[in-house]
Amino acid sequence: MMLEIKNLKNRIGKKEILKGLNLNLEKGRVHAIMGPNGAGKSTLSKTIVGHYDVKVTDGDIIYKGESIVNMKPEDRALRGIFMSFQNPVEVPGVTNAYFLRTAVNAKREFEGKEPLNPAQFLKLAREYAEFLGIKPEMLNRSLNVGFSGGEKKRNEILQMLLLDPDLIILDEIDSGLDIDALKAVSEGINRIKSPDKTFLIITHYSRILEYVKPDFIHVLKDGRIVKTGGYELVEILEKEGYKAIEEEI
Amino acid sequence: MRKLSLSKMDLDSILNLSKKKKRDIFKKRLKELNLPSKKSEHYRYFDISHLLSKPYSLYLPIVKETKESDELIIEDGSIISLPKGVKIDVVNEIEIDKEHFDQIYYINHLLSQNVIKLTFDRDCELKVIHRFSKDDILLPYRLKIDVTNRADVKIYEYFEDSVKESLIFYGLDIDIESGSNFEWVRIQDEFSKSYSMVASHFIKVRESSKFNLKTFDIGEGKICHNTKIDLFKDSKCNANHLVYVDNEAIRANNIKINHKDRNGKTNQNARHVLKDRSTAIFDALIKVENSGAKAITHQNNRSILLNDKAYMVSKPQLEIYIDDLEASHGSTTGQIDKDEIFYLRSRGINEKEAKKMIILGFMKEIIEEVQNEAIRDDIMNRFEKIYNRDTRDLK
Repeated sequence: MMLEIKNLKNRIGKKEILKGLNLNLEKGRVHAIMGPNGAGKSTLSKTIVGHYDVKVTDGDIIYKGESIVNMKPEDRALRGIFMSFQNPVEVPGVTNAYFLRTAVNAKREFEGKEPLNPAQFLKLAREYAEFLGIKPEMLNRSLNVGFSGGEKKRNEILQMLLLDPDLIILDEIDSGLDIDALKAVSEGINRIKSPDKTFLIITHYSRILEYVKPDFIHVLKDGRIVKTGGYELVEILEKEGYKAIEEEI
Repeated sequence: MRKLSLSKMDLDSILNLSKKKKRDIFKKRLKELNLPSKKSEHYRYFDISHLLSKPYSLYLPIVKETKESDELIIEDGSIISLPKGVKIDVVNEIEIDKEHFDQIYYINHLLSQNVIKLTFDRDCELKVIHRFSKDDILLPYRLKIDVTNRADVKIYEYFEDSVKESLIFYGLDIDIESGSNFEWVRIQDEFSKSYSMVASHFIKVRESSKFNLKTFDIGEGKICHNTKIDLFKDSKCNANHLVYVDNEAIRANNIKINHKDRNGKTNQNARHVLKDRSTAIFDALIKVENSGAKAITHQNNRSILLNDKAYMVSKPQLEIYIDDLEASHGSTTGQIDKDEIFYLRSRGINEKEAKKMIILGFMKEIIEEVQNEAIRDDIMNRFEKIYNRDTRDLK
């Protein structure tokens, strides 16, 4: 098992969001979480990566057999947890290339590998950038500053490819993407798919799931997983909406 | 040498310290402004009374023999070495600004018996190093810079010292003739902690000329720069200020930019990072007079406080007397953006490194405005060095 979430309860400020959530993510599988607005989808991803907003009040998250609930965000990342942000922040004055190399070398150091020098890093970064349709000059621009919505999302996938994580959480990676950007992002995801990696795709829509076929669909509602099924669940939700699930519950 | 404490002297006694014959204008203007104290807006947060109350020996620079070097070196107000081809005179009197807001501008002119005058009539890049070597002195001195003949001139100004408890009155009077460009890069770093400085500058940016001001305040010390800039028809002023201060530093930039004629353009950008119990003052006024139609003026300050005890006084101001212009101004003060830190940490970068990257990135945007690569790298290194000095207390 890549990740086990046991009876997870948390709050943001005074509001309880997750109310005893249980979820197992299998190694080498693609899991998708769907659910209505305000169900707690983004809070779930924030909790897994250790966002400062979220206070865990009960339960546990076990990643590769180790509890990560009290672990710093950087330590979770170094162990292979990656989340693509819904709205990646802009960091003026920090070039994309410098940021990416620092992140890549932090992980390499953690894994006991030699750091990449600037030339080695640039060769790798350019190769992935080209694959994702990212202009090479974007590597020299300030991180996400002035990037379009599509460019920011591609940049998230570039980070994913470079960091080569094991648990990949994609939080609404498809929102605001045109068809070309969606294809590029999907190709990036499919490139890294392997029996060692687990995906958790959080989405409102089925668009991305047509390109990255999920093994499991989980429906999250009111802070709990209320239904788990196969791809056929997407079709039901597309046709009948979350009301169909409500009726079942 | 007799010790004097300026705060204990009346106007006539101060006037009598000067050997200048024509003192009427100084007397008139100082009467209008009153002697410098906390009551003056530009000294409200910079304790000038305390500085002026200390007894100092008045040290008046003398003309010394000079040797040739790559840089212009001024030691205790006297030129000791200069590069070949730089035209320098030492003069007794120069034309002064009659409407400067700072009393020290006039007091410094009164006390400075000689003014170092540099005239540039061709393109030039020059490094100017100020050195201070005497303890417990009041050192008044001034430079006059004339940029003529459509020349493009860049000055990189550094300050070095090893003195204790001295007070420096310093200042530049700059006249940029029509069609000329002048860039003044001032770097005042951690060496400056052992002296205090009050500097008053006046810059006249004549028709179709351009003035770039880039100031870098780093480290400790009590230093105040009072700058008045007059812009004439079709002239431009870009002013960038970067301040990183720590410990008990008090650094002030009081700047007044006047659009005196049509089509003037001003773009002023300031960034401050404050640590420990330091204070920074950014009091900047852009005034567009009735005659300043079609002005374009933008002003912005962003500050990051790294500690609870750090204190930022941010006063970007526009004073506008016409409708026909484009203008904006803004100011933000806060801590390092939590989302930026989290984003970097979520990629495996530890918190300390993430904060360093964000702060250095914040400062880099101003540093990158310096075109000379060697100077730019030098400035970046100085900021990086001071940042690395101690980051234990970061919130």
